[in-house]
Amino acid sequence: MTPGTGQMTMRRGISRRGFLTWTAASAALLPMPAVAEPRSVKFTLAWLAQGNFVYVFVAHAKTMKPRGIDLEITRGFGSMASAQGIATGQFDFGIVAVPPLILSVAKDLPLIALATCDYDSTMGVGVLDDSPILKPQDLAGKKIASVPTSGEFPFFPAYADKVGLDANSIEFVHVDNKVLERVLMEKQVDAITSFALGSGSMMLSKSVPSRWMLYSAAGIRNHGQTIATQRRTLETDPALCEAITDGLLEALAYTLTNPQDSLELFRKEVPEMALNPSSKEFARIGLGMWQHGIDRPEAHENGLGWSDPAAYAETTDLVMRYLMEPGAKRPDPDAIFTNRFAGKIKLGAPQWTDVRARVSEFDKYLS
Amino acid sequence: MTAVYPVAPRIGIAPALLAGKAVLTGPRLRQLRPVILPLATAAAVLLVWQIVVTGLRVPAVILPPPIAIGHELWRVLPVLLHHAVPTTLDTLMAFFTASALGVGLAIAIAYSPFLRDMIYPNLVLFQLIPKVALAPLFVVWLGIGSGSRVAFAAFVSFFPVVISAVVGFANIEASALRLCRSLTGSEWQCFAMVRFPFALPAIFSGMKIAMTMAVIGVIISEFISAQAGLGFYILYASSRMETALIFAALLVLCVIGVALFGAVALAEELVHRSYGRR
Amino acid sequence: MPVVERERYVEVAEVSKVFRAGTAGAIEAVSSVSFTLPRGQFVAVLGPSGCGKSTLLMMLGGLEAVTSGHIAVGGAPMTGPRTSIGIMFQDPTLLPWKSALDNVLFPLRVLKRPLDTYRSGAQLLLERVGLDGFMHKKPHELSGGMRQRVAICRTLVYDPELLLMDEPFSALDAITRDEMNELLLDLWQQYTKTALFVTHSIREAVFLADRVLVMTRRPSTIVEDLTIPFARPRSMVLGESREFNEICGHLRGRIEQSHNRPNGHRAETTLARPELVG
Repeated sequence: MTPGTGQMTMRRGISRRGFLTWTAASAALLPMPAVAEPRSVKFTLAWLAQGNFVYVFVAHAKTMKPRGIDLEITRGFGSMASAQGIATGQFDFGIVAVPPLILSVAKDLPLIALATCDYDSTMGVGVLDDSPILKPQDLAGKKIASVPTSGEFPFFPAYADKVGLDANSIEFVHVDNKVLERVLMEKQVDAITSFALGSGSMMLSKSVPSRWMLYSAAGIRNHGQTIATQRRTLETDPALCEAITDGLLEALAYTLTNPQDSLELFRKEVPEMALNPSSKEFARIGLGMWQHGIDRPEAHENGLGWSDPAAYAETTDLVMRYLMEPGAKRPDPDAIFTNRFAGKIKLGAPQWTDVRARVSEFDKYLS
Repeated sequence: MTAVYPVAPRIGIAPALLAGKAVLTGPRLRQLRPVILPLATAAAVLLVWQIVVTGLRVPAVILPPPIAIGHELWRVLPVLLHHAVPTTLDTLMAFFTASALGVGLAIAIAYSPFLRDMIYPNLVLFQLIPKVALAPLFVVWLGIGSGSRVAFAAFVSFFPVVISAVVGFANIEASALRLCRSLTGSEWQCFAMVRFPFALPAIFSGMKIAMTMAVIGVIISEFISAQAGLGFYILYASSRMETALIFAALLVLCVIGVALFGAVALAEELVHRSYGRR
Repeated sequence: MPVVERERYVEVAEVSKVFRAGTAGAIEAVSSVSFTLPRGQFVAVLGPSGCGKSTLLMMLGGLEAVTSGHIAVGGAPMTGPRTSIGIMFQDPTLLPWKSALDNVLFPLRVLKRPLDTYRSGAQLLLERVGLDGFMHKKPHELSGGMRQRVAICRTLVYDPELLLMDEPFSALDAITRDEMNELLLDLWQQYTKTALFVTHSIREAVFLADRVLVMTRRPSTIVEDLTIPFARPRSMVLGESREFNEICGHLRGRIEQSHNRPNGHRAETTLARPELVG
């Protein structure tokens, strides 16, 4: 393994005998389609290796090899960047949050979501726990820092409209992701916009609690990570798409049922996440907060990976209204997502109860 | 264009071609060539770009065609110019700060061998650090306001000035200083009348680099934290996947960069007139 | 002026110069040199390259301190450069951004004297040396010989009483050198200065001077003080006379001899005359 850069490569190829042995030995939940030969697949995250991407590393460690796939994982620079990376063929698959995915499709990038992994990307406005700002309307006249290339950034106007806030009264500061949380922690700004499960977990791991006013709480559904690829890939190699989706969702299930082991695997794959106590906490909290967003009726009823057409339609409305030119062509839902490979894995009620118990510690941060 | 052609051309294109040929082979060629060739190359590149992007149906988010960029540029020009102001002002402040400090330190080094031995090697070493990595630290130290951006850009453009100036002051012929001293010139006179003018070409070449680095430094700073400016605008356009707007902003930035560089070159030329060797 | 002072216008008494050069230890460049110059005399200091004659000149001009012994000019001990002394070096060191005329006027700017008073004098000097068409040319437009002529004018423009010249014509070709020697004598006679001329050319020394001091290799002392009997004005034809060449031969022998002193200086000069060695 090459540590540190977020780019993981494995030894190439597995002998036929090894393949069969693995197949027998692993507690596979799904039948493995025979993918022709071990192949290298380039996969991009939407951000740094953190709690909400643990399952990708678990997939690399456990579920992809038996399917003959060598998953090369690269860190991302925001959903927009990963969308563009997939569209140009730099990556075969990757994670793109739902709203940026829809925006990309509206802008003629030929992407499609093979699965939706969680149901609240936790876009929101975050303040320090001791902040006098208690409700969205208190943000009027304040200073808010945002990372412009972060997925939640374009949707602030929608949120402002929903909560009756005059966006013009707010002083926006654009910052780089490296300093986003810091400017809040040092009180250089009153609030930040971000993904709570990213920024909130990071600050919490440094013992700085924060409160988040989620866009979802204001009625703006922002479903979370999708496993995205080019539409052409789905057309020409559906078997590969199925294998990737299955492998990732299987790993997703594993993180829900075996969180400790998943974190261990994650730390092995990404050594810098085991460097110090705060990075370990960061991963644990991130994983917990993210799973908070999987524990939803959509997953209970439809199985893992299911994309909700109603939610997609709502988000498409927002994109068309706030981000596109009037008169732009609205993308066809079938062009945005497919449920072909979703819903195969369903967790049982007792397992969901365990998940609930574990993630309830994060309820207070996510209002 | 005094050639006489035996056949009076009736077809319209012929006189144009002939005229063009006469221009290109006439004495005007030498004057126009430095302008025509680069313009023609740029035009050719733009044309190829337009054709390829349209023909291969590249999504506008990945690479917009030049015509789209031009259209966007025209549409948002007032906004771009509005954002160009803080960027330009920050650049100028950073440049002047860096130049003043750079020349000042170089003078101190020129007159103090002790100081030179202490500082100069460290300066050269520092030059090698990728200073971009330090940009977020400036925000941490100095906050999110204009101060941290000017400070970072000044930091980045300080080094070319001081290093060129030190070399400029050092490379003075010892005989010139000796001449001044033999005429009972004071230290100040030797500096102002001999040392400084000798070092001017080096100082100016350092300043030209510094101006370029100041622009880059300001933009990088704006990427890290900003409330306005072209870097701010580029990030805003990124966030909406408006790649054509990014290009439009970059174009304005280029024009500004070239103009500022040209201003330094012009100043150099003017100083050359009085201190020049031509 | 009292006879004593006139006779001892320049007084050099037991002067030594030791350089402390770090790792090389102490280098004694000049060892116990003594002589006096009367006013108006033209003396040549002759010796091979690398001996202390330039160092001696620098001490006479107040640009180097003596290690031991003492130097006085016009009765006043040398503590630093003086406006009554003019120094010429091998390199004319004209300021490249100034015209020939402005270069000639440069000392007056250092001395803070009104330029207008001296402008016509400077122009006259330039005409005198044959540069009247070149007054407004920059140094890069002048040949080596022309530049040295400008340097002569610059040295004379503020009317120093003592002229010190350190091999000013060594870098010029033989023909130009001869012309410059004649010109120098012309000017010296016209303006009646005291002059000390350092050279390693025996013929040049004999042609120019009233008196030749022969110096040895480091540590340099004076081993001969020869009076030159020829009348003035002198012309280049003198160089063909038999007496001239005998004097040159004598001096050559003297120099050879000093190379083979018991304390181990070996002869390396191409002027070797075996019959006088050892």
